[in-house]
Order: sequence, then structure tokens, then C-alpha cells
Amino acid sequence: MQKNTKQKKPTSYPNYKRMENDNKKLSFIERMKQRAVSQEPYSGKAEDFSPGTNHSTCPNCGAGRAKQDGLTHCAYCGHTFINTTLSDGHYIKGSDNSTI
Amino acid sequence: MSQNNPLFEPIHGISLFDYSAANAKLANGVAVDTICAALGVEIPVWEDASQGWTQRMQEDSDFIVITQMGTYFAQAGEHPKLGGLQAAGGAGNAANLQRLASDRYFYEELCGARTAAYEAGMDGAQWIQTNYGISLGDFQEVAMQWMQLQSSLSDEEILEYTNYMDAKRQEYARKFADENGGNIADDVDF
Amino acid sequence: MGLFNRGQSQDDKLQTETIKSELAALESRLDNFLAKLNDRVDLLIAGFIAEAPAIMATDDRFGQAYYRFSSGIKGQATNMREKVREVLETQIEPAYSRYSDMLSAGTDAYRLVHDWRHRCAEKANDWEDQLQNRMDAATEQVERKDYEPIFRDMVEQYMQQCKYVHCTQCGDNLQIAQVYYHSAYVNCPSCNTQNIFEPGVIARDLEQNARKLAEQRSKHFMDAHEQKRAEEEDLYQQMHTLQLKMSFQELQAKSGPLYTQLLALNKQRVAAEDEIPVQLDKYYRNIFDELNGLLPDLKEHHEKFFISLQNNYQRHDSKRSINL
Repeated sequence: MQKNTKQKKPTSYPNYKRMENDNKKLSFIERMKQRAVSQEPYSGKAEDFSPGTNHSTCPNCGAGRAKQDGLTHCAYCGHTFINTTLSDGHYIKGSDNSTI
Repeated sequence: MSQNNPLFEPIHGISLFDYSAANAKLANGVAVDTICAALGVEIPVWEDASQGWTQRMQEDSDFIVITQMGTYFAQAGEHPKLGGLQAAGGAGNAANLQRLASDRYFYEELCGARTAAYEAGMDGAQWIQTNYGISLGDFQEVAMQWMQLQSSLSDEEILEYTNYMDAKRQEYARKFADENGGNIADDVDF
Repeated sequence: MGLFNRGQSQDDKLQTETIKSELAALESRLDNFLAKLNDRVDLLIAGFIAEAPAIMATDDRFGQAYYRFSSGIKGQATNMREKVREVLETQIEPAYSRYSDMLSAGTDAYRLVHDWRHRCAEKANDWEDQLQNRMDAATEQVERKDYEPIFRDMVEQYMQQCKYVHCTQCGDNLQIAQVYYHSAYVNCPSCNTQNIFEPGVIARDLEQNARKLAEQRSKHFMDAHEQKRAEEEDLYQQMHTLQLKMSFQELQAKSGPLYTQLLALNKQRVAAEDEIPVQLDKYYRNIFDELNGLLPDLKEHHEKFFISLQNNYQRHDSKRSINL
């Protein structure tokens, strides 16, 4: 009597079909990530900058500005730095109007 | 809007119209230095006033300031000092902007496209700029103009535009998904 | 067969069985469809949680790359929601309309079709609610930050950076001692020259982070507010269930053991309901007390802001009208 010589399949084949599908869906996340990260935002990537000072000297006569002279006009030549009338804001007050 | 209402008092001579129009221009890419020069102020003055106006809106429980800001935003192009300011890159596509302001369906289509762009992981404002040459400030200015007319529309008209916008959103969502390999559940069928 | 025979005929029974079988098949397909979508939701959320931290770590100060990524993830949830709505509209509703049109109200078959439609709609709604809850939980997890060290480090770093800020006229240290939220004229203590001081991005972002820290420190009040809301809702549901058990006579008479139970439940419900706005008020008051401590130079504005917010949420405060 012939024995059944049919070979048995190994009992634990990896499920390649499922893995392939999982990879396709995992790569969706990768694709979404790439798109989000590589996009140029509307006004550009926001730059970081540290505290610092800028000149506020008179472009007309080169004089520096002193606190007691007010912010709106140059005490030396009368050049107008600020065309409007200052009111009481947070850092700037009405008292900062030059008296020229 | 009462002229006597302290909520509308200019801050350092910068009125709500100045502030609103300036924000429209900033959203168009106009440099803050340019805004300041046009208004006749320096940056610390502009920023102090800007913070002040933001605080006014937060302190206004009746939303009248923010409502008026919206109205002014829609009129940014008419501002005597700021109206003509343009970004360094130029005025953008004037024809498309004109169409956006006069063709409600075109406007709704671009609103849908912009939403779909964000929902697809893109920068919607940049997409509009790249594909139609319309900058964000101009887009928002036109949006406010359409909003001013909303109260004159019938319920049917409002629904018509809402449905049109949503249909366009779905159309663009499909396009953006196809450009990036599809949605995560595209192959899941009933 | 007689005048009082309310039973089904053989034909009716056969028709009911056919309908039942078709609807069961559709419902089974709906179950499978929702289950397959849930597999995708699992992948979506796992991917979102896994990738978001790295994106946030290299992002700009406005978090723009993360915003685009999370918008894209949420967009996928929207896409799946739309697929479910479409199935309801094109597969479930037409079957319901077809059968409910041809069947008489009150028959077993009509009730079957009606219950089936309700069940399918409930399954879709539950699936959507779960999706929303899972997305909210994942977003909360990914975006969770402890603002105590963040705020503290920001102030320290800013003060450290300010040690290197010099007068443009004489070069001496400007001795910056406070946080400037935006550019300002700062006077040099040595030569009295006004400098235009740019505070840098840390100072510009400080107010927003102070608000987040204040909310974090006030969270227990918001939790209490939400807990009272849930309690009131639960008691209301209990009352509703109880009312359904009562007879019309019991409800009319306003007496009896069940009615007494109803009154007791309502008393608890009212107590919870009264606490809802109280806890919300405590939440906002605490936020602004904390903000006054963190940014004392903005106290005047904070108080006006609080009153404005309070006016608004008090406007929306409403009580249920219960008629017992």
C-alpha cells in the first residue's frame, strides 16, 4: 500500500499579501509626512531671531535721540520721525510726543 | 459705529481702518517697514498700536470692533495711504483677482480648493498663490466683500453656494489625493 | 381565517422572510465595511502618533509643518466619514425607501424595515463618534506639553540673551530688566539715547505661552465643569428612563413611589446643573489670576478681557426647563 507522499505545507508561512498591504498603507503616512514637511508655507518658514538694538538716529542730521526730547521730532533739526500724535499705549505714552 | 465710542479711539494716531488695511497688506507680503513709512510712523509705534487694537478686540464683549475690522478689511484697497501698496513680488494676477471678486462661483470654487489643500496636508494659501497668483490678503479682502452681501441672499441661494463649494472641495480632494498616491482607505469598498 | 385574525398570511410571511434576508445581507456588508475602515483608522492614528513628534521637533516657531501634517491626517478621517455617508445614502436609504413605501405601517415587516434602518444609522453614528473620539484623543496626546518648564526656560533664555544687548550710540549694556512683547524704544542708562529694541522671538511668543500655562494650571476647574455637565446629563437620562416606566395616571397624580424617585433625581440634577456655570467661572477667573502672576504688567488688560469673556459665556448659560 502506497503511503500518502503528498508533502505537507509548512505551518507558518508569513502572510506576504497582508504585509504588502500594510506596507502600502504605512507608506501612506510616509507620503503624507513628506508632503507636509516639504511644503513651502505661505509666508515662508518663520525665522528665529534674538534680541538686539537698531539705530534710531536722525537721518537728517545724524543726532541721537534722548528720552526727554520725545519720540516724534528731532530736537536738533526738527526732522519728523513720527507723523502722528502718540497716545497712551503700552510702552509708548502721550508724554512721548515731542514738544516742538 | 459711534464716533464717541472709546473702543474706536485711534491708538498713536493709527485708526481701526489704518490697522485693518495694514493687516490686509501685510497678508499680501508687503513689508512692515513699507506700512510704517506709508502711515508716517516707526515700527515700535506700529507694534504698540497693533497690540492695543488686538487688546481692544479681546475687551469688546459685543464684537463691534472685530465686525468693523472685517468691514474695513474689505475696503483695504480704498485706504488713502495703504490702498495702492503692493508686495515686492508684484500685484499678482489681476484678472484672477477681478474674477474672484465678481464671480461668486469662482470664489466658492477656490474656497473649496483651499480647504481641500489643507485637508490634504498642503498650505492652502500658498496653493492659491502658486496656481492663481492671488495673495492671501487679497483673497481675504474679497472674502469679506462677499460676506458683506450675505445678509441680502435668500436661504436657497446660501444653500446653493454652500453645496457648490462642498462639491468643489470634494473634487479637489480627489485631485490632491491622486497626486500623492491616494487616500488611506481608497481600496475599502462596501 | 376570521374577522379577528390579526396573524400574517402565508404570502406575508414569505415576503417578510425575503426582506429580512436581503436586509440582513446589507447589514452584514455594512458591518464588514466599518470593520475594514477601522483597520485603516488604526493605521492612520498609529502613524500620526509615531511621526508627529519628529515633525514638531524640527518645526518653525509657528508649528506650520505639524499643522499641515495633522490637517492631512484629519482630512483622511473626513474622507472615511464621507465614504460611510455615501454608503448610507446609496445602499441603505434606497432599500429602506423601497420597502417602507410598499409595506403597510403597523405590520411586522414594516417594523422590521424601520428597525433595520435605525440600527444601520446607529452603527454609522457610533462609528463616527468613535472615530472623532479617537482622533481627539490622539491629537491631545501628540500636542500635550508641560508649559511650566517651557515658560520658565523662555524667560530665562530671554534674560540671558538680553545680557548681550548694547546701546547703538555708546556701546554700553542696555540693562534690559523686563520682557518686551514687541519692539520698543528703550533708553540707555549710560548715555540716555533712545534705542529701538527688538526683543526677539522668545519674548514675542511669551504671552501666548503664558496663556497656555495659565490654562494648564486651571485645568482642574475645567475638568470639574465637564464632570458636572456629564453628571447632569446622566441624571436627566435617568429621569427620562424613569418617566417612560410611569403610567399616565402616576404622572398626572404627581404622587407615588416612582414620582418620589423622580423628584429626588431632579433635585440631584439641579444641584449638578447649578454647579456647571460656577465651575466655568472659576476656570476663567483662575486663568486670569495666573496670567496676572505671570505677566503682571498686563493686569489692566487681563481684567477687561476677563469681564468680556464672562459676559459672553454667561450669555450662553441656560437651564433645562423640566415640567414635573
